[in-house]
Amino acid sequence: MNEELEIFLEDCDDQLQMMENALVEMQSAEATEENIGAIFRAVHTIKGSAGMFGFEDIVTFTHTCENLFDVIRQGELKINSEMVSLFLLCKDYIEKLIDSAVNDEELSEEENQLGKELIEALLSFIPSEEIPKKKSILLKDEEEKSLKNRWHISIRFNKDFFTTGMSIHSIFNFLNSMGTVLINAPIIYKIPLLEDLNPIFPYIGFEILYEGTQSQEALEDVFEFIQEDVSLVIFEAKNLEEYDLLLQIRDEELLQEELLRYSFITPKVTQVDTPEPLKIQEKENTIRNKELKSDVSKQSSKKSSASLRVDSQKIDILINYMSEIVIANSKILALVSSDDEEEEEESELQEAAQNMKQLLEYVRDGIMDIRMVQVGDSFNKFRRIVNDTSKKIGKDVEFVISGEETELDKTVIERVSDPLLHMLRNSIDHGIELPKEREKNGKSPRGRVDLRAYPDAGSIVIEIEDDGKGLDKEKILSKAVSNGLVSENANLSDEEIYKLIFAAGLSTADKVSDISGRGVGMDVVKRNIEDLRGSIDIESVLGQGSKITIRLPLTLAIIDGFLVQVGTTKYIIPLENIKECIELTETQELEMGENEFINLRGEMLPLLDIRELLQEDGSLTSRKNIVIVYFGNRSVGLLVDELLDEYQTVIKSLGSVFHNLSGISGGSILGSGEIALIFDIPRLIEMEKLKGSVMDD
Amino acid sequence: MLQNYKEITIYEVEKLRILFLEALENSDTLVVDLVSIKKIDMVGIQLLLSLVKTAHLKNKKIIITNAANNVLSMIKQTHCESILGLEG
Amino acid sequence: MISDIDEFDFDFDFDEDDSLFVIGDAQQYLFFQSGVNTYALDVSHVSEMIEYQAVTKVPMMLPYVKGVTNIRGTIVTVIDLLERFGHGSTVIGPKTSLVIVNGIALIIDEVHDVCSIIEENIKEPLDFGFKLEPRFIKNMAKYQESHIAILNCSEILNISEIAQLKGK
Repeated sequence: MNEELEIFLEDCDDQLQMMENALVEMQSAEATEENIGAIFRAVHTIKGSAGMFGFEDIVTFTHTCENLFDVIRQGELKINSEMVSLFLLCKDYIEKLIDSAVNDEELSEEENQLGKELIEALLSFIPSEEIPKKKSILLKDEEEKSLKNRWHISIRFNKDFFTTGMSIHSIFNFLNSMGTVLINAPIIYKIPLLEDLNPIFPYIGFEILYEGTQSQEALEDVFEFIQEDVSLVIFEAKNLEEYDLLLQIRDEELLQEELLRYSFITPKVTQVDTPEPLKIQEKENTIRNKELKSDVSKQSSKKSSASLRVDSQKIDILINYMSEIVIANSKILALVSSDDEEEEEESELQEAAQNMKQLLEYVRDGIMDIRMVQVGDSFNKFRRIVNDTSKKIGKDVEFVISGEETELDKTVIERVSDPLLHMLRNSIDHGIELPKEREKNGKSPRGRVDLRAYPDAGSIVIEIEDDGKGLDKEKILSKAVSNGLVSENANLSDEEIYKLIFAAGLSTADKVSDISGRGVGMDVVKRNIEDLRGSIDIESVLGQGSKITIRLPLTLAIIDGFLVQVGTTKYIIPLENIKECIELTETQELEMGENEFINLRGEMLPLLDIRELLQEDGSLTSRKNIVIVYFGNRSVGLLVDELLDEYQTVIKSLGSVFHNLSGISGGSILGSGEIALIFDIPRLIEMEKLKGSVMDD
Repeated sequence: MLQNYKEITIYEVEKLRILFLEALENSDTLVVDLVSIKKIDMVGIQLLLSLVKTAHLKNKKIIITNAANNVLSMIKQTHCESILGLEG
Repeated sequence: MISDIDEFDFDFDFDEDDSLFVIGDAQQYLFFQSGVNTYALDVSHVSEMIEYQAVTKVPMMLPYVKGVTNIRGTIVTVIDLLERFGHGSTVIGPKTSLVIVNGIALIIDEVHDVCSIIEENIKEPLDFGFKLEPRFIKNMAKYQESHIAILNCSEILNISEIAQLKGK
């Protein structure tokens, strides 16, 4: 998809979201002027943009929506809940139209039919007195302007025209539908030979003789949206002097020949005998063009100038470079300090290098900050789904969002949206009881679901809390036992029982409803969250409700880690998981013997031999070091060969071939060009736990 | 090589331009078989126009043929079909 | 400047010409050596070719998945083609190269040539006793008096197959 289309898509997404927000508000509260205006503007804007790209289906449909909304806006019709529901359906349909248009797909039979039905429904709301009024206006117009006029339209393209994605073919189509194109002469003499051709430069031009009933303004309107990218000269064809003006403006040697050849003009007209009037006309033309230009620029500055649309890939590239710079600079720092180890004072060079480090980190953090987006934008999108879902299954739910200004990395938000939605649906479906049941239990018939976000100690916390019926420990336990996940006698804490919900294949839903409890289960949700280096926990009180707490790192891109060597490969352990590093002494080694534990200050610490776990071969250097890592309340000692250095680095994905790999979350390119693999500590600990040798603190 | 191409639009034109140039250099007759082309835009039409011009100047023979219906109608809309030797 | 281009004569006899270049019929292929055999790849699948360079081993993968390598700042998966075919391991030497196909780097012994093969010379795969799984062969190309197997990239680089972990 080219850039212009992407921007179009993003713009439409924004407009549609505004439209939806306003409509959803109108479902629960009175329609305000503001809301109505917002919807009208959204539809109008989409119509205009779609027109630019020649997406006629979208233009036609939005035009009808716009009409109805205009009538409402003028106060001639009051909006009711039926109309609001209809408009929500229309919003969905517009989304579908845009999707098809952008992906160059045709609509299906059903989709076309739906469109027709929607339009019929829309039209049925327009009060019938309106129509006769409009008819009479039309008649008047036609009477006045029944004289067809012939216009000469000369088009040349500005250098970037082809890259804008606008289609000259749709302009031709439009002209053809509005009137008759008598002559369409392609101007090709400017096209150079292949050797000198810059393929995307528009050398071609067109001279058109058009006949129609429109006024000059209406005609110029057709070109309004591309006014900035083309050079247009439009004039009444009967004014033969204007052709001389055209020749002057275009200043092309062969134009006259072409005009003659295609019979726009006859040989007599080539005399320039009235210079004065021509000059005035030229000024008029340029004024006309300028006016049009300023109109368009007003149109295009719809968004406030305070914010800037940026391609997120550009930011990723910047972050990459910045991180490499930070790493390169660390090298410099290291070289500088090792030189002056002897000296007491810091040399100027060292000071300068330190300063540089600080500044670079500011800049890097600043760039990372650009990727931060408010969660509110995403959270608000859930409103409609929550509303629709609750209605569908007969539950009465109050959905409260708080902490919308909390910021999170754009990618993290995108990847956490689906899991959040799944959990919200769960709350509504399985958590909140039907109103009658609630009343029976002394609760208010209206249930409540809270979605909260707030920062906490270097992470972002997202909570989903409901006052529904809570989790039934007995049920979960018995299901887990029958699935063979847990042995009958296992003594599990409440917390551990609740955690079983995240196990694959465990659903205590009595029947698989449409909404949740099928296939995409909580295990997938957990995996998604952990892929983001986050964690998820559940608390619950039977009869009162449940709370899910998700912790997410502020950013995915950079990791502070510790570099170690195992065999021939270097690995990075995230600093946030490291407790301490110790050397494996000979005595400890002897103590170890066959066991996989060591005695650390009186406590037993389970060990994980990395080499064994990852099935690395390699040199027979004895494993010398232990890095004690933890996740949650479990600690494990990782047995590695060498301890290297603290490292701050950009996490890169290893690629789709490695997506099944547990225990490694990605790779990082070191200053030397080598690739170091990054450990996924939570997974590693889990893997080890499955072996049954991890102990809780 | 046109077999590799399904469209002649802004994305392919530079590669095609070079292809055409080479072809003109190496042969006296050029057959441009559009059978696999499903889509063309203004940029593509412009390229073909330049190709025909260049061929003429270098005294090479050129035939453009097998345009699909939608491609042909795009070309006809711009009234370039006769210049390219594609009769409707 | 050519201004009367529509006087250009399109009605001429099409005669057999040695220098006839028909665009629309031929396809380019990369010919290379892996083990004792020569194979071919459609160049439209090949994004680049480089000299063999350091590969970082990634544990727990199938034996022919050698690991990853750093190509201008991007981490690229490396697969030993010979091993993928089950014909042993590529011996790394001065001519060993990495051919990047569909985003994955294939270790091959030597690059031979890139040339066009016209459609007529592309045949259905024959049962050659090639010792290569038939699904890896797309068709055969007639090249310099012999028949060379044109490889089927999507089968060879089938992600769900390659992504399996060792011992599963």
